[in-house]
Amino acid sequence: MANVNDIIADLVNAFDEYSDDSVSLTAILEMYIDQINMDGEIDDKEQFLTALLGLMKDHPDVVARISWDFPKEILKFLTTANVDVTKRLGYSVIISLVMKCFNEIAFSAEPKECLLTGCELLSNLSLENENIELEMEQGDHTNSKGQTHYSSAEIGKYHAERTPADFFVSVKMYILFELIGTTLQRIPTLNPSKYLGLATSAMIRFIKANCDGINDVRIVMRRIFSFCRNYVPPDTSLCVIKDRSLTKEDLIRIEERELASQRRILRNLCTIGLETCLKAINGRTDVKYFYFLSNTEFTLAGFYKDISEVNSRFFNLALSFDIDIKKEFLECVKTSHDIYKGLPKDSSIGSEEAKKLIQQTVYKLAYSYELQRIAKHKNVQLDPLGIVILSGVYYMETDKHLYPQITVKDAIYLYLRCTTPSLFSKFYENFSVESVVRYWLWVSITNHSSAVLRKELEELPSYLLTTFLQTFLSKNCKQPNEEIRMVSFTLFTRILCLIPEAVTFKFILETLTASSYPHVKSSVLGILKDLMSKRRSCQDLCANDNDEALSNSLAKLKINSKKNEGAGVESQVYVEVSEERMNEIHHLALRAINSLEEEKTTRANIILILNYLEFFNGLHSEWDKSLLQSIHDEIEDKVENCSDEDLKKQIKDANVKLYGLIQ
Amino acid sequence: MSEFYKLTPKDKKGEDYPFSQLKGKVVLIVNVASKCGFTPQYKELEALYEKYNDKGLVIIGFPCNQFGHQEPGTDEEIGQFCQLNYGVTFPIMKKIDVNGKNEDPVYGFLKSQKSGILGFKGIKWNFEKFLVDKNGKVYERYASLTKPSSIDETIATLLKE
Repeated sequence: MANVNDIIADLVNAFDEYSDDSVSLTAILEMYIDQINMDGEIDDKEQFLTALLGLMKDHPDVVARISWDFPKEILKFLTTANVDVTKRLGYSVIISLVMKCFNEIAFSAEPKECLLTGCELLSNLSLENENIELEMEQGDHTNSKGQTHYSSAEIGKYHAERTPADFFVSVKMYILFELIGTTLQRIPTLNPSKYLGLATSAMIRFIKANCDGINDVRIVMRRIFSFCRNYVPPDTSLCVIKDRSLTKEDLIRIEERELASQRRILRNLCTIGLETCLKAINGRTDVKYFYFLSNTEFTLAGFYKDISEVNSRFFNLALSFDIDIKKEFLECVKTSHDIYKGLPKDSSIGSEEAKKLIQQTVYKLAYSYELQRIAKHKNVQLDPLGIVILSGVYYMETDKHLYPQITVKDAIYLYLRCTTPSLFSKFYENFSVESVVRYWLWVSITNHSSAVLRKELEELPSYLLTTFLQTFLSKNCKQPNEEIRMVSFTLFTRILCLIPEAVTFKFILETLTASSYPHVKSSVLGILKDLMSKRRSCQDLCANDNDEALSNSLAKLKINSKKNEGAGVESQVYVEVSEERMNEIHHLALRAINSLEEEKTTRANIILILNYLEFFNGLHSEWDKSLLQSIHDEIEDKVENCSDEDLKKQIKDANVKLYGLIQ
Repeated sequence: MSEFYKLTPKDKKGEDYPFSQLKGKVVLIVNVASKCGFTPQYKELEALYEKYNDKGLVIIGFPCNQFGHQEPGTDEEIGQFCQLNYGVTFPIMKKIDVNGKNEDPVYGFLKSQKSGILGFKGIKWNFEKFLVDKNGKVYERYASLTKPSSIDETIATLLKE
């Protein structure tokens, strides 16, 4: 490589010589940047960028002429060869110089061209592309004199989980957001909404493509928040002077239309930004309410506390943008209701086959609705899932429910509307939204009497309830967070207590029969044991609307045990034990026990057998003794096939206990 | 009579502060916060107050914790902070919400009279300012970025009217 001083001297000459020939100057600049980046030492690169920055300051006219190309060329310096990603940004001279160069571009470049190139770069910025580029770069390093700062030994706690791609995407995103924000204010136009729309589209494309993968999504959220908060429309007075053909009325009309459009665009970015950035974050709204019901103190861990702080900013931004969160949330509830309101009642469906077919349709209704909504909508709208998240942030912020009157029917419709589309496309998966819709289910069942809840649930078609239960169960069984899983199972059990008994039993039976996952079967078996053994309170049976008593019982978060029964009060279990039901469960238990003979039976299958034994032990006094004897004998016969010694012992012990209980 | 003079917010001790006492005064109302980048504006606000108070300017600060949770303290703590750090002598009121379901009626009124940037009514951040003339009419609304010193001339003009 030529001496860096010679390159800089050539660069200075080029700025003088080719100041009117942007094509040549761009080519020369690209050549020098590539050369320095490939062969230069870090000091050379810093020296080069310092010189370039000086030239940009001295030649704003030249910067204006090559606005298209400057940003892309300067971003080339953001590589692992030039920046130590384990250190904070302030340590990197290169990043500081790159940012200063971008500052010059933002203030001197031709704003429309600069905005377009900024939007293009942001739209194409992705972790995937960055990874590919970094891999190529590392391949090149074998021949490079470039000093690589990266040292895994130095990785501090702060950056421990950040990959180089994640680091550079975040830095570039920051730079491009700033560039776009600044240039937007410099565009002389009577139609600023056109450019604002362009900018926000690029931002949305970026977050949709990357938010699942970015390690610290708070960085992106803060950028969106800052952009929304700091956006000021450009001064239109220059355009007015130029275009003298416009009357005062024309100007007022255009200005009003433009203001309205810009407001819509910013509101859209606020809601869609929140929703998209939180897609992969497990929300805590339902957990917080659960803790409140259990009279337990709720605290958020570090990361979630920070997320909650950023959410709070978005919540208050929504208020600043005059978004009526309650009105918009009620609209979401109504739309969800409308999606499912046309479903036929059980009584009007001729056969079980027809019911199954309709159930398949129920799964797809919300997904189809979303596709139609995207295809049909012409105006920029608020993002409904963003509104759902804001309804949850309202509770996190104020400890109050935005809509305590929500009915259990509406909460179920809302749940289905927000969760079932993800069964067809990962694009619609959103863990934060799921937390909020679970929270609304909690609100619905804790703010109405059992009698009202039961009546409402009876009015829903059984196949819709089954769809809801299956979706809920499948989502919860995949939930990796133990606390959320536990809270959700508590909610699930409570809802099963309220649903018509026949629907509940049928659902559990179908799950025990057809689910591919033994741990799911184990879970529903545990729930069924509770539902068959624990009894409803007298209040519940008498359809008492005493809200205080209800709240107290729900606050305990336990379905009533025998100990809680009033003396001499007739009470019944949630799911009755009948001969037919005993036979059905017996048949399924035998099928599970037979799996012991299969060579490749899994640990989860063996645990399921143990759970069946616990189920029978718990219900022995209600169960047919001959059936229990048959279970005992079958296990005794096959347990020796069990390859897991620990589980084998537990099964044997439980089987001995069962034998004792039968006698 | 302007609706402005019918408002009665609470002062930091929780006692009524009827705006009827502001008749004939020029009033600058600011939503303040102690931990904000704009907090140093207290200094310029106090300077304006000292300069024009005897000519009829009243500045009223309404602490608000809605923006970045930057006003977390109690009313007493906020009052002490203002006095100790910026020598504030103008009235600092009870902490309120300026947006949303629980917004204070003072802000409901002010926002209804003058929109902010892009026509949004909502308050965007700490240290937005509303200037009210001697007749209780909202004369202007200023963004957080607007330094209090830059309103000096406008205040002087309104005081002369």
